Amino acid sequence: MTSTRNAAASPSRPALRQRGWRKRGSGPAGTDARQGSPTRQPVDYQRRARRGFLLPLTLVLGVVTIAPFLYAVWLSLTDASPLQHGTHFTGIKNYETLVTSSSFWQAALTTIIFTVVAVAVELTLAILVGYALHRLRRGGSALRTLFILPMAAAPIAVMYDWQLIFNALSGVANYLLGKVGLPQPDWLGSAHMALPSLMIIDIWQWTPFILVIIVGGLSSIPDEIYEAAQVDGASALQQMWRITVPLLRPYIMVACLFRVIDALKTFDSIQVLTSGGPGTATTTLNYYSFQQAINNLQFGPGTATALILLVIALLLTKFLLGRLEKSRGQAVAR
Amino acid sequence: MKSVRTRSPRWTGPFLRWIGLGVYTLWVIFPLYWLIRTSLVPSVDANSLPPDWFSHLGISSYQAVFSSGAFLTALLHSLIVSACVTAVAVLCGTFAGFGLTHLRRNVRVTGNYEFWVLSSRMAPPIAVALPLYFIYVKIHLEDTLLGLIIAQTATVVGIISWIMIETFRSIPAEVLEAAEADGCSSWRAFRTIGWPLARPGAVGAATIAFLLSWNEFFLALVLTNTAARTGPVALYQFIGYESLNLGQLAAASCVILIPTVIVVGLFQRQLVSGLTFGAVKG
Repeated sequence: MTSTRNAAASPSRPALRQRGWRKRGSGPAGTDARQGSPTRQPVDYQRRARRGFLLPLTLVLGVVTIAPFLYAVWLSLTDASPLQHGTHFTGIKNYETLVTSSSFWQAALTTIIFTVVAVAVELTLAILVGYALHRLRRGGSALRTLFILPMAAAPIAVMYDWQLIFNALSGVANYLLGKVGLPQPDWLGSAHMALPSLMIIDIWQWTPFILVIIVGGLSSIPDEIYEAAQVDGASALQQMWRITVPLLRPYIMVACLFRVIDALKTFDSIQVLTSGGPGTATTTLNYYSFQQAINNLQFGPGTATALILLVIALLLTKFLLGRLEKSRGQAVAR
Repeated sequence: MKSVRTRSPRWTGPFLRWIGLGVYTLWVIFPLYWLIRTSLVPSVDANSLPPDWFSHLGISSYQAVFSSGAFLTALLHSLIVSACVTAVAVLCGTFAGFGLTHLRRNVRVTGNYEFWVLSSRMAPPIAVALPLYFIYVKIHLEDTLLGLIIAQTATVVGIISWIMIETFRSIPAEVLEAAEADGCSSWRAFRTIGWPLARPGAVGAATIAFLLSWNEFFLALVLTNTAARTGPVALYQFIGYESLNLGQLAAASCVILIPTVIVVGLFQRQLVSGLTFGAVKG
C-alpha cells in the first residue's frame, strides 16, 4: 500500500506506475525501485534486458506516432492545400483563425454536450444493469454475452442498421411510436433531434463497454461487507451508496477514461448518418477537423483543430488518471 | 452468497430487477433483430410498413452480396489486416509489459513511458491519418495492406500495451525474483514464467485488438482506395453509392458482424478480464 499512497501524495507526476512494486518496496519505496535482493543480476545487465523488451513497442510507437505527430504539427503551421501551388509557413495563423471563429466554438460545444451526456447516461445505465445482472441467480453469464454484442458489432454495420430504424418515413421507430400515439420526430433530419439520435446510438453501442468493467468490479466486492452492513441494519439504498459505489469508483474511473477519450473522437456515426448536419448540428471538433482537411482540402486548419483536440484529450486524461490513482488509494484504505 | 441475495425481503426489488433487465434486453436485441430481419426478407418488402416482422425468409440478399466477389475480397483484406495488427500489437504489448513491470527501472521514466503509450490512443484520427497519407504517398504505401496495418497498429497498440502492463503487474514480483535468483536470464524468466502466467491476459488483449482492428473505419477510409479496401469501407461505399438495395446492404452488414460476434462468444471471459484489468488494484 505504501507506494499507492506515495503516488497519491504526488499528484503532479504520472500516476500509472509503482503499483507492481509495492511488495518489493521497503522503507521509502516508490521513489526508487532499483533496490533488490543482493542475488539479482547487475543493474546494467537488467537495464539492457529491459531496453530489449521495450524495443518493439518503442519502435512501433516511435515510427507511427512521433513521426506523424511532428508532421501534423508542421502542417498545422502552414497553409498546405492541394488547391494551391506551394506551401507557406504561416506560424500560428491557423490557430488564431480557429479560436476567433464561431464555428470552432460551436463544434467544441457540440463535442462537450455529446461526450458528457452520452457518457453520463452510459455510466448510469451500466451501473443499474450491472447491479441487476450481478445479483441474478442464474442466466447472468448468458445475458452478459448478449449485452456485450453491440460493442463487438462493426460500427458501420450498426450505423446502417440505425439508419433503417430512424428513417423518418419508413423507419420502424416511427412506426412503433405512431402505433402508441406518440410524436414521430425526424430523428436524423432535424437540427434538434440529430445530436440526441447520435447519442442514443452511442449509448446503445458503448454502454456494454462500461457494463463489462462494472460487472468485473462488482464481482470483486466481497459479500461479507454486505452481510456486515445488513447486521448493522443498512437499507438497500444505503448499501448501494455507502458500499457499492465507493468500492466501484476505480472501475468507474477507468471506464469513464476510455469512454471519454473515444467519445471525443466519435466519427463513424456522424459520417454515415448526418455528415455533421443538418447545418452544423452534429459537427463535433473531430468531425470539424475531418471536414476541413478532407472535404475542404484545408490541411492546415484541419490538423490544427485535431491537435487542439489532442491537447484537450491529454489534459483530460491526466486529470482522470490522477483521480483514478486517488480513488484506488481510497478503495485500498477502506 | 445466499444472504446477500435475499437482503431485500420485499418482492419489489427482484421484480423491478427483472423488469429492468427485460427492457434492457429488448433494447439490446431489437436493432440486431431488425438488421437480421432486413437481410432475410425479400428486398421489395424490406422497407414496407407495416413491417414484415419475420416471414418469407430467404438468403437471396446474401447470394447477391457475394455474387460480385468485391465484398469477399474486402473481407479478406480485413482478415489479413486484423490478424497482423493483433499479432504485432500483442507481441509489442507483451514484451513491454514484462519489461516495464519486472525488470529494474527508473520509476519516473516508466511513468512517462506509460503515459506516452496511452496517449497514442488519444490522438484524433486526422492527426494520424493525414501525415501518414503524405508519408505513404512518398514511399508508395498508400492503398496497400501494409500501410493500413502500420497505421492501425499505431492506434491499437496503446490500449493493448496498457492491458498487458496491468496483466504483468498482477503477477507477484517474488515469482520472477526467485527465478532470477536461481540464475535465470531475463529472457528465460520471461519465456518460462512470465509468459505462461500472462497468457490469459494476452488472449483478452488479442480479442480486443481484433475487435478494434476489424471494426476500424477512419484510417481505412482515408488511407485505402480500392486495392486495399476493407470490409467496413466496402460497406460504407455500398451505402453511399446505393449500388445495393436495402436487403443486400443489411446482408453485407450481418456478414461483417459475424467474425467479431464469434470471437466475443469464444473469448468472452478473457475479454472481460482484459477490460477489467485496468481498474484492478495491482
